[in-house]
Amino acid sequence: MISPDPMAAIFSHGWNFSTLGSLWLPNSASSFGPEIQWLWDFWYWMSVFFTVLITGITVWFCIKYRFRKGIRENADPAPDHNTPLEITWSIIPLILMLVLFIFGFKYYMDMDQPPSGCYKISVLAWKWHWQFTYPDDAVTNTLYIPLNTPVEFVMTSKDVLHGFWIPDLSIQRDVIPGRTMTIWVKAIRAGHYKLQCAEYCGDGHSEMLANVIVMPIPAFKKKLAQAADIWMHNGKVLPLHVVGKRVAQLEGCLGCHSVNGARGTGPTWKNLAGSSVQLVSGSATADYAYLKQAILYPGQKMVAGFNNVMPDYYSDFAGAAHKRARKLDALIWYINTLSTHASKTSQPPVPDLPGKAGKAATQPASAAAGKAKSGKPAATEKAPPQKGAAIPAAAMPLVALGKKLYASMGCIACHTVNGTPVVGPTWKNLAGYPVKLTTGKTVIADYQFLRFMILQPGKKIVAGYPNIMPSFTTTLAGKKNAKKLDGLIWYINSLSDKTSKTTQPPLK
Amino acid sequence: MSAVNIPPKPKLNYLNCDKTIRSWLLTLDHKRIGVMYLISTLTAFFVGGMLAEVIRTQLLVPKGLIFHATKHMSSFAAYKHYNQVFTLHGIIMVFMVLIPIIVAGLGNVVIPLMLGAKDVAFPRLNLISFYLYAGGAVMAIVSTVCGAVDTGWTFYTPYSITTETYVCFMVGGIVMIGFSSIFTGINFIVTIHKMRPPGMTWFRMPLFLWGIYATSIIQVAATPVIGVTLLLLILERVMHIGFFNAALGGSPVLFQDFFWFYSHPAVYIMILPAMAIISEIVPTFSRKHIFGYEFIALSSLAIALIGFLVWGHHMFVNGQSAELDTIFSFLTFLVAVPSAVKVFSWMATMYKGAIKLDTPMLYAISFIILFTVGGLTGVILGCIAEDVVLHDTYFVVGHFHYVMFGGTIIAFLGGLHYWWPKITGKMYNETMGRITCVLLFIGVNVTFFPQLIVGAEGMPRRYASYLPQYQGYMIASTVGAYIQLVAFLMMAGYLIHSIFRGRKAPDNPWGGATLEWTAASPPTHYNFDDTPLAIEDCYDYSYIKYDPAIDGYVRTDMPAKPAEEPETAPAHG
Amino acid sequence: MSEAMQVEVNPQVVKKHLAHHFDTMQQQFDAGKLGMWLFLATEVLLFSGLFCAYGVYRALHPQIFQFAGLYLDPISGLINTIVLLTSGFTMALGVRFAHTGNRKGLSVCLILTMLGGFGFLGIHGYEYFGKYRQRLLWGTNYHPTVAPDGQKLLPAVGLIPPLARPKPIEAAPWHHLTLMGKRGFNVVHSNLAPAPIGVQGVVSKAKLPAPTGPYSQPNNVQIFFGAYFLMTGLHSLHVIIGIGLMLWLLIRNIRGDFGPSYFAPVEFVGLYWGIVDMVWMFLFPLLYLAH
Repeated sequence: MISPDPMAAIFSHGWNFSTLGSLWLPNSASSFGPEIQWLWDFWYWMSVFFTVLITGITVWFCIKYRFRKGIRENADPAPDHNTPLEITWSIIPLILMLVLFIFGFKYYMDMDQPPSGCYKISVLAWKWHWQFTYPDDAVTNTLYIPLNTPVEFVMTSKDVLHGFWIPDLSIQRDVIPGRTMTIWVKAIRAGHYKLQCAEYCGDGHSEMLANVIVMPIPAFKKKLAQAADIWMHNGKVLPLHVVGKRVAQLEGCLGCHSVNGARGTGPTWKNLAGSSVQLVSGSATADYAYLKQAILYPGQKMVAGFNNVMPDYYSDFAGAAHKRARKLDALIWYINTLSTHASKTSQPPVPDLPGKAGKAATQPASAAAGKAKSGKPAATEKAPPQKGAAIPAAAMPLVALGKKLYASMGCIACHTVNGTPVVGPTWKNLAGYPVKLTTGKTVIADYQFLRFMILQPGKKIVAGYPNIMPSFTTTLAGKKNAKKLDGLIWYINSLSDKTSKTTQPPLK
Repeated sequence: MSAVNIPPKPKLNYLNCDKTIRSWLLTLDHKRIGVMYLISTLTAFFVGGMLAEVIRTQLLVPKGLIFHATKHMSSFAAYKHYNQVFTLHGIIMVFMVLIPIIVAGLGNVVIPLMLGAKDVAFPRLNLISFYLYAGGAVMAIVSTVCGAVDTGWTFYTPYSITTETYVCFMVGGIVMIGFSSIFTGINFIVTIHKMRPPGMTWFRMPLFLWGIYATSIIQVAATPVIGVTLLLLILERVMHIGFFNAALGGSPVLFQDFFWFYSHPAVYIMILPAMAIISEIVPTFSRKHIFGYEFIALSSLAIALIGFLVWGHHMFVNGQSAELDTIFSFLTFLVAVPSAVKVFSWMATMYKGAIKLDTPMLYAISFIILFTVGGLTGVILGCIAEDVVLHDTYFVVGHFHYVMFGGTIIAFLGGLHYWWPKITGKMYNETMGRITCVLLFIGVNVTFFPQLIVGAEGMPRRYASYLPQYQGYMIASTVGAYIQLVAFLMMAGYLIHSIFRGRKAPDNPWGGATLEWTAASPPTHYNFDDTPLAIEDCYDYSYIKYDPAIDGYVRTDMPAKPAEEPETAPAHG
Repeated sequence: MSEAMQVEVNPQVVKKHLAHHFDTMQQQFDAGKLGMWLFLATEVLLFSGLFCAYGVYRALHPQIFQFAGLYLDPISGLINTIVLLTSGFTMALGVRFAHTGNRKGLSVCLILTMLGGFGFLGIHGYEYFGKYRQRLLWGTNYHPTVAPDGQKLLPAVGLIPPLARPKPIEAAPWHHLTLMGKRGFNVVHSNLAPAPIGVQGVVSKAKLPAPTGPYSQPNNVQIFFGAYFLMTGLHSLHVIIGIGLMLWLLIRNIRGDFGPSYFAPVEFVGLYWGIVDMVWMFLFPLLYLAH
């Protein structure tokens, strides 16, 4: 019976009943730790006393009054009841019980009533995953708790009962679907702790853990700011499929779906996209539409051999908000990267369908586009009234190269050429036009600007668009790649009716 | 003075009077039904025990030794099997072992004998009860063979509604076992009310009968509620009636209230008969009158009644109102007091006795110590603020195993060894019995004490894998489980050996003063030739003397060797 | 309970009907009667579990019960009450005839009681059929088309007619929770969305649309019909068992088993029928007069 964690005992800030520290219980990092430890110690030593007393007396009687042939064959006369004695040994336990009851009640009331003005963290639990949402919309899987701040957890479950249980913070409460449960805590010691699911919830119950990090408020704020943007990491914008992997972790997909082919609670994601899937009734091809449906409404098309345990992700991904829909696409991109069968049909459609966009790029702009005219070489010849310099014939091969790169490098996923703004700004009529940045400045999209935006997209951001474009430094920077980069910029120029010398790359 | 007629040693007893299988399967004899219950419950105990060994073996390493991730199986898919194992362990041990083993197993054999009656009040109902139990067990087996259940023995909604395992069969089986329990309860209440022998007033009844009486009241009053609860669960799964389904406007927590309204009293169904056995064994082996008879008798009833009002202490963290938490906590502390006083009374009984440390007495002493630990750990769980940091951890597991195993099973084993000569007519090897008891006592502590510590440190229950820092305790616990396995194998060995090779048992090997010891060992088909009178105090051992000739005890107020007398002794006054 | 019901001593009957383990017919009768009372107590507890569930839901959602109670017809409930009470009376009379050894009277009474039981089941069956036609069923099967007074029900709070229901929401097994940042949780109510239940100040801040018409209905009315079918169904099952028991008594009576010194089975079935009546006396006001 030694203190299980001597280090914790040394760094203890809690009030201890004895120099031995609170045996067994973890050294609580919460503000009610001292109360709980005091009461525990009281009970603990009371129990030790009574266990030793009862065991000792019983064993002593067994020895002292043991049956001995010829010496002690019969009991000595003794009363078979003694009212004062019986009352005494009823009253003493009763008093001890009342002490435990009263303090247990008092401390519980403290734990039950959150102080006003708590910092609120929403907790959402589902099989077998925790997700925490902070007031500024950051979403994390690790629970960050600001130090010395009363925090109230507002909890609910998507599917079955779960138990929100952090031993080191001495808090536990069930998380119940259809109800909102609350619990609060004030952490008084920074550190790394574990959240464990305490209420049995099925296959992954024992792995339904989350890291809990209690940190000082400045560090906490910094952490949340980082967590708020899943599209970036250390200032670098991530490719979509990497974002998809993050989404998969955040939403707890990987607990049930393996990425290495192992059989799990759900089908593996390895070689899933584009393959044929055996359903409970019939079969289907795991194309984009199927994957989307399977994530949003999991019960609708059950894969043969698996149980219907997946909660629906409707609220996580569906809806009008672009941000959420894009997360789903990122996730499906990730699933596609795991498959050798992945194809156009299994990949998320790049906005405004690649085929159409490609066509649009080769054809004159539609009349509906208004004054806009395609900057395509053929068109420039037919459009003398158009202002700005035309594309010189010498640049035509570069325009063609740029157009090819537009599709092959994936620019097509986020930038249209027909004037529709999607994830990123459209390339139609971009070159030579003024662009408003998030800093509030307005700049003309000239050659230098375009170059800068392709190579270091995160540095300047066009107002109204998310900062999600990956940097193309590795593929387009340097002398070796100068031709490619210029080709792209020539292509962008060819789409604009304000193309001019300043917006075009220099011709050698 | 006794007016019990001891007939000549009969050749035919209840075991050998008719040896056909049919005569066993259709028997109305309470002793045979009791023996069938004992065989069934012990078989179930064996299965449940082996599952426990599987659980303990799995937990030897943090990621699971038996069910863990492989190339072809993710960890979750593997853990599902672990979940099925602990669920089955819980269901078997609670519904098929702990609840019936003492009341229906030993109780069926002993109660009519203690009452000097020929049988229980409703022998046919008794047989129906047994077959309901057997039918329930069959349904549980069907469920297990089809794909088992992974809900935990508590069947908490909404998990039990949504899981795609065979919950309906299992729950249906438990409903059947519940009805078996109700009928047994009715049978025993009526038997104790209406079939007491002349002279046995309520306060002259052996305490075992008081314990069974209190237990039967709980069985009759609480079991219908779990019946209807589980029925609702089946309807929920089959017809989507929506009572416990949040999506349909129901409340998943209501299920918990209903479930514990039965299952907490069910804890007393398990522990009251255990205490009742101890109340028989301790005075017999101390050769001294039980201390505080009235208190022990009435405290059984008090525990039974208050036990109905404490179910909410299983739900301190599920968000029921703080007022309810407080009331339930208070009542929980109240119910602890009579249990404590019972322990003190047993100790006072031993004071100045002449204590013979035979196997049943060793079990009784083990019970007192283990139950003390179980009770004290229960006290802290009833304390609301502390329950928050202990709820659903291994501390709870350790606590209820101390009570259920260290209490009920140890007391049952004491009772089994106590009445074994009466049931089988044979004596087991006393030395082996004592060694096994000590080994088991060590095994129980090594198994369950580390669970208390690891739970307090924060390890939740029902975990197929766990954080590495808990591994030391888990290994210790597993070692304890293996020690228990060895002890039980030894016990099975010497008990089975005794049936075939055991020394013939005298009618009264321990010197008990209750009426069952006046019957032959094993008793005849109708137990007694004449309804015996119960004039003496059943805890007065002064007139029961050891007779070396038969290596047993005889009552000195009647002819020492009735077997030598051709005709039955005339009834005294 | 078993207050001094005297059983006549008749040696022949004793030989035929006294079990080996009882000393006297009186003891056997008393034991049987106590056992029967205990069994009936468990029956009452079985129903009281359901009454508790009813009480809890009624306390949590009074509006459901006020609304849905209008669907039940108190008149047919009242007729059923009268039918069942009458059969209770004929059963009691039958027990009396058994005590006095009036075989013919007992047979007539048993037949009348059975007829009462069948009548009760018939009226109930008719009601069930009506509920089925209106799709006033439990759980997910609740899709009513008409309001309690027969008018067309407007799609309103929490109710979207089955065909017009948006597919995805129907398919989603649980209500949809949306995390709304600072505002905490918002429960988006689908047609199956849970009403805010809870003890500790529940945070369902979703604003329900105002009722759109006089026949708009509250959420989760299916709970009431779940309770209705469950409780009356279980009670009807007891009526069916009772009719079966009476048939058995009738056969035994025609065979001439019963008389002043052996009437225990009649007495016990009488007690059982009394409990069946009593349960109905609770069910009727709780369900039919719920509004």
